[in-house]
Amino acid sequence: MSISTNPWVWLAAFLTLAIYSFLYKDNLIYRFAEHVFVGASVGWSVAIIWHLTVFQYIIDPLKEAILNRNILEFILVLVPTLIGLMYFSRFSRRKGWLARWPIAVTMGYYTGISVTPSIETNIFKQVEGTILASFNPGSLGSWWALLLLVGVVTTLFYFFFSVRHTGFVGRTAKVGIWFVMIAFGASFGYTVMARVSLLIGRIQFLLHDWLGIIK
Amino acid sequence: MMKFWLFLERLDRRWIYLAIGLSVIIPLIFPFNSPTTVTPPTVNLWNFVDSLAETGKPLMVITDYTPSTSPELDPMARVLIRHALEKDVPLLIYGGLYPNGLGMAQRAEHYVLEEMGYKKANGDTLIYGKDWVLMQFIPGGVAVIMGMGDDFHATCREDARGNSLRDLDVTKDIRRLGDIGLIVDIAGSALPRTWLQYATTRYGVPVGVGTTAVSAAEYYAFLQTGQFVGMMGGMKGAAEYEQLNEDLIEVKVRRVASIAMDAQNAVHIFIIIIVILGNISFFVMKKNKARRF
Repeated sequence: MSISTNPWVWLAAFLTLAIYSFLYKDNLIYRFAEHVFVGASVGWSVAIIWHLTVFQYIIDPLKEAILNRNILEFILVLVPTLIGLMYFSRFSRRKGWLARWPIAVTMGYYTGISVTPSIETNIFKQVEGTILASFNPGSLGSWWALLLLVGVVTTLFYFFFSVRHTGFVGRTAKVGIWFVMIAFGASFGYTVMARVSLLIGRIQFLLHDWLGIIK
Repeated sequence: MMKFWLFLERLDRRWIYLAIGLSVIIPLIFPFNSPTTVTPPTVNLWNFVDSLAETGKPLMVITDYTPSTSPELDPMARVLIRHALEKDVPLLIYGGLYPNGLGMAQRAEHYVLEEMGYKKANGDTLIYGKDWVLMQFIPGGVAVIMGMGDDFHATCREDARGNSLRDLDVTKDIRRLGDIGLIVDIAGSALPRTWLQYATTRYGVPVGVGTTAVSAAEYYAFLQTGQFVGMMGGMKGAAEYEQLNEDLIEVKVRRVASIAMDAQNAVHIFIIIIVILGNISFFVMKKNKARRF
């Protein structure tokens, strides 16, 4: 057992225990740690964005353009910056409408670039993966592919609300709901694993890095 | 018997928290070394990374996550970096599309290099710029992927240490994203799909994924279609990759994710038991109440 002598490790251990103290009940130490966490992560992001975005992509290029008397470069940096600054007009009731301009630019750009790859990635390729191109009864893979096809079709029946779920449609939709429930079960199992992993990570830190109990 | 079910129904949830805590602590102190079974998604990813040693194409490891998911995702970043450095695969470590990822990338880089003592298995010293590069955060989200796809050096001018990427051995020959052999996005969000959508669909770059267990179920659909070349799903995925690194390239280090799997197994057994008991208790109490009225 070798307890850490690093003050930062002690601070991290204190904050970890402070956060877990909430499991017993809400308390002042927990709220202190929560505020430190939120403040630190926002502070980190602001510092990174200030140095790596505002300085690197706005202030430095503007300075350089002024020094080189390059008007075109100056405009190419200034115009997007001004459009971006319009977001802050949301703080004013009278000038709030100005925020629609940067929103329109952003939405237009992202919609334009995402339509084709989004359909290709999430629809075409997925439909292609579901189509049973050939079936070989001797191959286990073929049976899994058939099961997948049945699962997709019956689940789609379940989410088809334009027809009353009775008779054949109702029975098919009922099979679909079984597939949906199994998917939820798998997803929940994975979620448990994810949450437990976070706990294990912190306990490993306390036992290994802080207290030195485990190797 | 009824007293037992009544006791379960009225049990303070804090006792369950305590039991889960003990289920984690005890296996970590007294490990029972449960075996790690390697699954095809992890093997495929490992093989793809390994094949880059023959083609000489670079690997880009992206740490698109924040400290809230680091216990699951840090081991993934470390095993990938270690694998690439051991096999002389040119490596780009990139913090991804959001600012917090840079800190995660720096931490993973520092951890692996300290672990290796800045030396390869053959004793050669690892040289920054020749063996690996730590990339800078670049604002712009999806526009950054598009920019890299069209002109890598116009989008990524400097590394995180202020060196020009045109001067570093790893990056000087990368003209566009298509020159990268494999991108592995490690994220606890939908970002791997973004990389798939643009890097693979638009620019034809193979993408692999390392993700939290929560997101793993969603990505199996993309594995089945072959859109992702491989996947590490949750801490189990990282443990599998650690196993492959140890078995196939003899990386003998402290296997953080594998150690954690003992605790993971113990907690899962405990949760299965309490879910079964909770359900039985619910139905017994319901039946009992129905009898009384």
